[in-house]
Amino acid sequence: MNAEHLMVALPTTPDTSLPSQAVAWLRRGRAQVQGVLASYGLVLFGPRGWAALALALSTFLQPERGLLGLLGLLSARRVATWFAPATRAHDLDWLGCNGLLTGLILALFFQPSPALAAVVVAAALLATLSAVALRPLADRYLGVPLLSLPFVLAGWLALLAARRFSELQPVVAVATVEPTWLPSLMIPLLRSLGAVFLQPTTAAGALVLLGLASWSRWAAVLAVLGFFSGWAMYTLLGGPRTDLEQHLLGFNAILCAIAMGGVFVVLSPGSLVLAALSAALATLMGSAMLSAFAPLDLPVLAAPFIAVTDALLLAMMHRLGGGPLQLVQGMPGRPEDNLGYVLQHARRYPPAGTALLYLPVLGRWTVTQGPNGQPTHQGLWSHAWDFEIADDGGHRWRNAGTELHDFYAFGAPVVAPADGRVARAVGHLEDNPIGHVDIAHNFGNAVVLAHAGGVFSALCHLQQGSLLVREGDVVVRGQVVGRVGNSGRSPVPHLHVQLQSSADVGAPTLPGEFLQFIRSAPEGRRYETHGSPDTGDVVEAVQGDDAVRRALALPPGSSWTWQVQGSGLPERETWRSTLDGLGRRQLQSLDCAAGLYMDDAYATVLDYAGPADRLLALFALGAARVPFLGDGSVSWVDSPSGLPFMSPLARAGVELVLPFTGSGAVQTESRLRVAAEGIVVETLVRAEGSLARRLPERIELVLRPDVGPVVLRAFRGQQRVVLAQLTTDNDSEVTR
Amino acid sequence: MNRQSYEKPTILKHQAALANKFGRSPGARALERIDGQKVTDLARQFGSPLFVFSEHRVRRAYREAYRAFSQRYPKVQFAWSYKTNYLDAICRIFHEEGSWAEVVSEHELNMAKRLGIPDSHILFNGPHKPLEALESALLAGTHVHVDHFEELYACERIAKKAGRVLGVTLRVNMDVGIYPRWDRFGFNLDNGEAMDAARRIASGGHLRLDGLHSHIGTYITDPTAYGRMAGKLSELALAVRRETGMVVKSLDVGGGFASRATLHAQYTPGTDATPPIDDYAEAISRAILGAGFAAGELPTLFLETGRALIDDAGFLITSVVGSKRLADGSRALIIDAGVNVLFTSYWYRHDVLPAEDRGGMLEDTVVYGPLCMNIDVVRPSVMLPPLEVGDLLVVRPVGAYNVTQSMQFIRLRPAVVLIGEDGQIDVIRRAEELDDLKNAESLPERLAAR
Repeated sequence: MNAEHLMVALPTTPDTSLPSQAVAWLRRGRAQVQGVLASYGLVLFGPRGWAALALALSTFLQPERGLLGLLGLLSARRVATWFAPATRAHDLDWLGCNGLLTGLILALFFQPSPALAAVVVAAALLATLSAVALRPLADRYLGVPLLSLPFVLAGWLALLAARRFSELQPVVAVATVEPTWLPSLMIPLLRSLGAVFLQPTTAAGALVLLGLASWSRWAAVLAVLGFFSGWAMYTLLGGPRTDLEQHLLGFNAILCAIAMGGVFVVLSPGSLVLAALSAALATLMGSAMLSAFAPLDLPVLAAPFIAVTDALLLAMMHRLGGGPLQLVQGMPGRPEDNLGYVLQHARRYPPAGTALLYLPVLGRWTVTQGPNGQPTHQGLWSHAWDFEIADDGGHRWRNAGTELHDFYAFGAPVVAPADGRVARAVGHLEDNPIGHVDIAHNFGNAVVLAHAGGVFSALCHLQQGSLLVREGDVVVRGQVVGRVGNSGRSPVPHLHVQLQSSADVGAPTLPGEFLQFIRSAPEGRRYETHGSPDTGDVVEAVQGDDAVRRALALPPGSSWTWQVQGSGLPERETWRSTLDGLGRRQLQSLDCAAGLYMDDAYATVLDYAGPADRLLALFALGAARVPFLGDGSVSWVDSPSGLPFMSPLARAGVELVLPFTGSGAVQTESRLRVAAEGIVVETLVRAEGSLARRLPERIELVLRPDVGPVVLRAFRGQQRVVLAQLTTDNDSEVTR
Repeated sequence: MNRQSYEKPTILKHQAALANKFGRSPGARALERIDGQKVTDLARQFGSPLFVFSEHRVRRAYREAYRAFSQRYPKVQFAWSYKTNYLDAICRIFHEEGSWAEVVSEHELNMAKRLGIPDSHILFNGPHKPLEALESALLAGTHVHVDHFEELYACERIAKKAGRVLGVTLRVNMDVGIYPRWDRFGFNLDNGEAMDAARRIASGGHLRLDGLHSHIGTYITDPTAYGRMAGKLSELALAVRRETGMVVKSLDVGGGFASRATLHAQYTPGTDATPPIDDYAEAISRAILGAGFAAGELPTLFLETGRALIDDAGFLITSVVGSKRLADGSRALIIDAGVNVLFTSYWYRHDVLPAEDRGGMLEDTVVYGPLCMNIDVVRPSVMLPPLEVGDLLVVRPVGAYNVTQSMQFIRLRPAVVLIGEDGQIDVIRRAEELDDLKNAESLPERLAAR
């Protein structure tokens, strides 16, 4: 998400005075212009702003063509509001993009005339209608993007229809003179780039490359890679070189490479290979289509790109294993951003598709056998945990340790690790004397809970007669279901926990992770949002702290106005907490925004977009992750992306090597203390290279329950470099 | 070869069993070291009498109690009872371990604040809270435990004046089968007074009922009494929720757990009579978890345990200043510490052990303190070997209440040292000097020396 986009989203206050109406008009006009530019950008997967302007300019090198393209674009956007069921900004941009291409293709084949303009408007309507008709089908049955298919269909129909009308004059082919100083391979490359906007000239291509590269360096690299891969394939097979540009084959290779290399597939060394392969494939597909369409004398347009991209995407969606290639989830953006998101998410948040549980016990426990542990967590039953309690001296029992009651764990409550329903409940088996096992009933007394998503959790070796639930009962997380016992194959009292895919006691295990726990590490007690404790780890459930939760509620609609002292930062900043239609939380300030996530256990800043020298940027680092716990002896680490805090040049450099190095993170270590001034979250920031000189070494964020952040301090060494305080004039706005 | 010292031949009654009906036979004849430090060295270095605290034992006791409660209840918060022992170093250890502060007077409140405890981590108890202290505490967000209606009204006036809704906790008393009933503190639950107070809070509109607190007594060796109390407190919280809509966020079950000390009145030694802390934890948490709180409205469990956490960590080193035969022929020892620094000896049958085992026959002995008062008896009867003037004795457990309740009656108060976990010994309170006692006084001009 970039800054221009945010400006549009800012809520406008209703004000009817004349100047403000003018401002509102200007703002609407500005939004319109940005939407039009976004339609240009979408042709190449999304450049906006200046980059999109360069792309738009490439169509105006022959102004009449550019105008016809714009006419198609505006017609499509206009009729979209009449016909399209949803007119979200992004959908509108996409429809506009198809209208633009429809206009451009007609302008490429016919001489400009009022009649052509009428056909452009009609064809744009056709493109929008086909988009409206096909989109639900594609979404429902295939799940792949339609890309520029509406343009291809409308384009073909318009070209076929136009032959019957004498008012439309075909363009007389004029041999364009290309600069002689260009290396010979650059000419077809640039012409193919220009052909993306149906302007197969080197000048247009240069503008397209400029726009593309200013948006994303990797997109530009992929474009070049795609072209040469397609070109190599075609020339190797002895295909006529001119086909690549004249029959628009080259641009299909370019689009395929960008799409598969970084837009729909996460950028990686593997995706570069995929990009080259798909570009080669696109030229083959294009040749096949050329032959097939020869009787109709139709250009292939973007059909090879669409066919190859969607076929590959479909194939990847239905893979069984993950493989080295990863599909981009959600709305695709810049290749660099897609990769950055994936890297950051993998570093900081639970992996998608992993079953997540809370600890099924209270207090501090030792994992005496973790996943793949000896002797019993093996093979089909490898993903399981055994929990026991040890005292401060490491002993698991008091007295002689010969009686069940000597063991600290014996009789401790076992709680539901997530909401669910009791699928099995066995509670009649006798507890073994210490040292004895019951191998006839390996899992002993057990409660198996069915959770959402078809995951079951099994809590085993429970105490005879301790079950508080029956089969069919609905349980909520944290509800006591029974007590730790010594039934089944259990020589000493302990709790065996496993995830499985069926309700049967003793079913094979599924991998999973625990949420929200504290792990005792050599460096102290460490909070972890998610993780899988291993044999020997000492873990404890987090005791939630309501005051911290209330201090980080940041309710949507609230705002905080800051008085800031610090070199380079604006003197005043107002943060607004917003909530979008999808439920995403955000803090917005001047020209920057921080995405938020919070549940009942922790709050985190998902990402930050905007200039580095903003107070909100410091908040994004200082509150990268805050668990709702009030225990000052617990620390936690995080690794938010450092990219938003780098200089543009440094960022571009890091992004270029990101697929190979895969980091770009800032390391933070935080702890929290309750002081007279409020709840203080102290974060140590460790960055490398030039980033270390740009970022403070320590950030202190003071929070108050029901108010939110009230003070932010940043330090380099012992020197305070930033002091921001909530201004008093908006206290009433925040305090309820 | 060392010549062994001559020992008079003695005849001792053979004891076959580990214990008879008077309890376990004395297991140790002497206590030579505390946390690895020689008692004789400590006395030589810091004088006698001398209070000695073991940091290791403090932390171990806290962790044991925290483990017992936290493995049974999801939200547990201990608050260190300042009145039990408010030496800064001791308080700091508890705070380091995660304890909040429980105070019963404004000077204890200020002690906690001086140690950097935020207002929101202090529980302010007691039947008398001066108005200024009450006002500043309430406004600062301290957890104020209201004891009676007059105090409740005062809180309402304070909230009204401030124009804010302030949270309070109600101290509640009830019958749980423990005698004496501590019904002088707080609002009675059984006759409906506590519910009336809750209704008053709800209808007044100035206060918010954040918590309920009960403290059933002291040295309670019956965990089921706590179960009954926690159950009744939970019922009250749920009734308040039903009737007024106010969600009670915390239940404070107070303290009163027994330590391992043996009371004069006890039949079996404290080590046997006192239930493990797990039993208290089990009774309390089972009662609250089973009370029927809605998911997400389970209250935080506050504990104000004092004695059970600190008693075992405190020792008193004292020295023999004289020995005599009483008129009835029984043996008596006079030592340099008496009830002036051992308030608990009225109640506890303390262990009194020599610092060195030099053999000799154990003889029933009365141990007197140094005061010229007939009441100054440390142990009316204890089996001790022959001891000479200057020999050291160790009295244990003395961690709870003795430091805070000791007085400058006849003698000034002794020094207190802390043995750290790494064996480092620090003086955490020096022996008092005359000026400590006299500085607060002023002599009227007319009586001043001519």
